[in-house]
Amino acid sequence: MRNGAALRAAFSLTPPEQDEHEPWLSEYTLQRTRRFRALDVWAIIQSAGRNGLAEAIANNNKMALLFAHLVETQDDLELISSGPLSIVRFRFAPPQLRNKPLLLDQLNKAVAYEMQQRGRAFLTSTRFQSKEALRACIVNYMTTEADIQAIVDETLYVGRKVVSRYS
Amino acid sequence: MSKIDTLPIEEDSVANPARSSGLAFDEETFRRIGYQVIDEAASYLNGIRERPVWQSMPDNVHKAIREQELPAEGHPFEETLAFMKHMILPFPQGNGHPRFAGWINSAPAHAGVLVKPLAAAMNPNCGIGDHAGQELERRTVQWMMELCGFPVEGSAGVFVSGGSEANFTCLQAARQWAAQVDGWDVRAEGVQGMHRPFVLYQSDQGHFCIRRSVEAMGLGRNAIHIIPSTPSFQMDVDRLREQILADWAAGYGLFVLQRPPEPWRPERLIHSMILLICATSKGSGCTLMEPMALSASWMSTLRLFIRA
Repeated sequence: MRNGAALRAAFSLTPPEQDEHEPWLSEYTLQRTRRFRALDVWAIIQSAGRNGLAEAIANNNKMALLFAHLVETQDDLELISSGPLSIVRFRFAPPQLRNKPLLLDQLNKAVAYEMQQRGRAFLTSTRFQSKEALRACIVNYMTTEADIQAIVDETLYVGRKVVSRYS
Repeated sequence: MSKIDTLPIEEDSVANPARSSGLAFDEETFRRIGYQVIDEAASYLNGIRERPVWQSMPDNVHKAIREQELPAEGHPFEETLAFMKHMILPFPQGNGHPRFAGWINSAPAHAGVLVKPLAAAMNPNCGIGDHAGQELERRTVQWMMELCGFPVEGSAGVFVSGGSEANFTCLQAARQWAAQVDGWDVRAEGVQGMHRPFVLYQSDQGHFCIRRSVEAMGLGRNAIHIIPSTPSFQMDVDRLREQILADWAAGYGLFVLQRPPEPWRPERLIHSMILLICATSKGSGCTLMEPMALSASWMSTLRLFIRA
């Protein structure tokens, strides 16, 4: 928090005027017993540096842009929203089914479930603007363009398979 | 590492009660198994693309995990490691795989994996005492401030278990501050209806952890006034302004100011209320939150959120 004194005021057991040493971190939070969580973060920043972190985040955003682009080029997919952060919401929505909202809702729930079971990619479904949508949240530093393409391909494959089951 | 003089201990002359209880291993065993553990972790990370992103646990695995008996006597660690290898490691949540795009849970960074055994070997309590653990956290928090564009001087922070707890922590600080500005101490008096109620503003895309925090703090979730978002899922600032003025006109005791802000002067509001604005998880990304009451400049911070 910008205002460090306010954070301390919410949790402190020792008034600042009675400080005999630098305040312990339990003065700033509910927990008295605290794990050594800073070590991982420190070690990762040490290894990646500011530039490494920035690059990873920028790459996630780039992958999300690519994802949204691939969705837009597919007739069977409908982009719901994307950007500026690395989350893309879309639907499997073949043109012939776009006037059947209830069916599309069922379909997209089924697509997420089936995709997870197949184990080639993993998306979750979410309710967004009163529609059942698929949500790709891209935060993995290893995700490449080929992975994005594979997730989109898998969505199309599973979507068509599920549709064939419905009809 | 420097060593201090200690009384020599004849290792073989005394039975080591810790070792016989299974809470410590002899050095050779520790190293041998330790290398195996690192090998397992390396194979796990290295082979992640070859494995399914996620797979359901077969019945025998469910059974093996659920029906373990509480052991009366300890077992060799090799058995624990073998169990992990067959029953635990093959069934991850899925984050870590490059084609996992499910939730916002991040992939493990290797440096973070490697320092875990060292953190556990030290096993400090980073809430108290004078030791390198707390000192490192103080500095790492400052790095985070720097990375986020927050001031390094005068700010404060702690690492908590996740975003929900972070928001909960900040909200408690915001409430304390707002009550203080209103001339009372919420930690002493609680929220027992003796003072004007608090109001928070959150966009319709805000994360549910805010609601749960507000509920847990005893404010009641009706204290959250939802502000509609724009087509790009950002809080509609004009609607926020309207809502604040409407709340004021309705006699809501949300302002500490003795009179309404006339004309509209956001810089007056900052000193007078808890104002919480959340860019969001469900709609557009991560949760970015700052208790507005604590920021130096309301509008500049608001711009920060709009940009985010």
